[in-house]
Amino acid sequence: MAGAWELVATELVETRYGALVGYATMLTGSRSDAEDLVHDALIAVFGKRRNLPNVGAAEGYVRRAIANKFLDRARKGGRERLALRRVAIKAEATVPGPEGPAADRSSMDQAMALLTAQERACVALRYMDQLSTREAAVALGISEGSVKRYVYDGIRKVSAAINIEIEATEHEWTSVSLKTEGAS
Amino acid sequence: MSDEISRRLEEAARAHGAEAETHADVARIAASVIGPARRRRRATGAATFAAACAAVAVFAGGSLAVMGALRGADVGPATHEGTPVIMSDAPLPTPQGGSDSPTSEQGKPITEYPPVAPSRGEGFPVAFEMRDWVWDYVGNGWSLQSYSASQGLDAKRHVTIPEATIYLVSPDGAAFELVTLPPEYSGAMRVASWQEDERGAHIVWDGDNTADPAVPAGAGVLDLTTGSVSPLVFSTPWGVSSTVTPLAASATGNELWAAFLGGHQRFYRYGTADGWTVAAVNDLESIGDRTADHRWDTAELVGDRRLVTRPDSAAVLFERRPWRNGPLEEFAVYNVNSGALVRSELQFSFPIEPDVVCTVTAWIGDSELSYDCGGKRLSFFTVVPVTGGSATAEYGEAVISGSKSAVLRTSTVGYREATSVSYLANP
Repeated sequence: MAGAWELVATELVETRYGALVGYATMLTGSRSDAEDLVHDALIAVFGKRRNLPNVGAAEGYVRRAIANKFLDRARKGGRERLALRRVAIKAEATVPGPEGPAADRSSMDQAMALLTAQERACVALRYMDQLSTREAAVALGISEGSVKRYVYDGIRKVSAAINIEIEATEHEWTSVSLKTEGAS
Repeated sequence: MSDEISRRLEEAARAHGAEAETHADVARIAASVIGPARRRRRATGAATFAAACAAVAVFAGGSLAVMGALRGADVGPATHEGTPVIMSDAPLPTPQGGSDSPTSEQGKPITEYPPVAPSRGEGFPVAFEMRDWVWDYVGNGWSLQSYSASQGLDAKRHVTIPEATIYLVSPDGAAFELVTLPPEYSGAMRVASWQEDERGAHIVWDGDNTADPAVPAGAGVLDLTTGSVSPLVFSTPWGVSSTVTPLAASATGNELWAAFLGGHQRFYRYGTADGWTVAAVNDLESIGDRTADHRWDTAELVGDRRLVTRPDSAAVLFERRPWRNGPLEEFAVYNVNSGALVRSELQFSFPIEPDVVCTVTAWIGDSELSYDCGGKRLSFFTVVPVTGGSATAEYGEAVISGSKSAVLRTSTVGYREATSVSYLANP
């Protein structure tokens, strides 16, 4: 008989697999890499003995795991980083559907491809998962200041790429003036 | 503006998601998640001291697959207790000409040392300047050691990292500064193998996306006497490779590398006798097409990817599955030294359900592999021979790492050195 976690895992895959792959694709820039990432994240989340009461809770865990694993791979540098750059210049596959959304998707893909791995992860957590800066920092294991900086840099690049103007008040990062010891 | 970006990101993600869903077999995907997850839970549930030891053994064994690339006493037992390893804050070794000084292949211990090289800063070892005559002493017990830095993950801005440096290190621990590398090759630079007779090395380095312009990752052939680097690229049937990665480098100087270009991969062997050749691995059906479903590839793993390579770095495991994380149909072991490929077809001595998926957990000596198999109702460990033909899996007891005990070289930790971990990037 399947355990409760297996039922949650099955339901999550059946109902949210596409959403998870879509989310991961915005990080990796490649659907096949995204599918690998989602698969690894699912195993990582459900491979631990933790209480996952429902699909919603599980999806949150899996999304954090996707962002974390994406950063882990980027941290290792090498092929993953190169792959990202290849994706950035790779022609988009033809997709069915109205031209508008397809073009929109393509421009966002290209805009995200301009970002570093850290910027992608932070932008995804802040703008897709709607996490707070603190929550994103905890999820990625980096400082809040770093999250702010990555989000600021990332959004600036995305905005420039898709021709949206940044309003000065909207960015999160503000410079910190350093004070040397003994200075007044 | 924030809402607009959120909306467009979500829209793009939804479009990708919808596309993915139309091609996805969710029942199969769910099964391929639940099986490995169940095995992980089982393993963590049995987290005894013995289990922890087994996990460390597998991990460290994997790292030695890499360390085998440095063919010298750096992977063997220490021959001189108490001789200092040079560290940045350690005193210089005093020249030793006495009877306790190790003897090289040429039978000559170093009795006089060159001047001390200028300091390269924090983290780098204190070293002597290199002199050509030092090569005459190089033999058993010597090693090549690289020191390099990489961009910190949490760095707010691109930082200039110091030039990577390679040292020749004597059995006494005396380091001789061989070469420094330019910035584009310095990011997390590692020595993958040492061609002693040619005074050369194969090296790999990480890319840096924070630099402007970005620095690509890569590999190269390094001349240890001049410091010149020739980037290592392969002319594959699909074009010039964009990325290469070492998979194995044996103690006898033979290596297997993977080259990638888009959705393709191809494998090349470096042999001490015949240099670079196309590896027999490429004969495996569809192994070159990374987008194909039913194909051969390097071993499918959950967790430790270093298991692809045998601990002695002389063999690499390939598998054929109908889809990613699907049931194992065949496996093949590529012998890096001989260049031979031995294929085995997996059979079971008892009836199993079609959803049973096996993933490798350990190499057992030269002739066997341990697999962890599981489906919705059946889970077991088994050990299969790698001798070719039909490999019959027996029902094994559920133990943490294989059902057979075997002594493996599992780790090397130098005196006052950090424990080495694998640095070869497996696909």
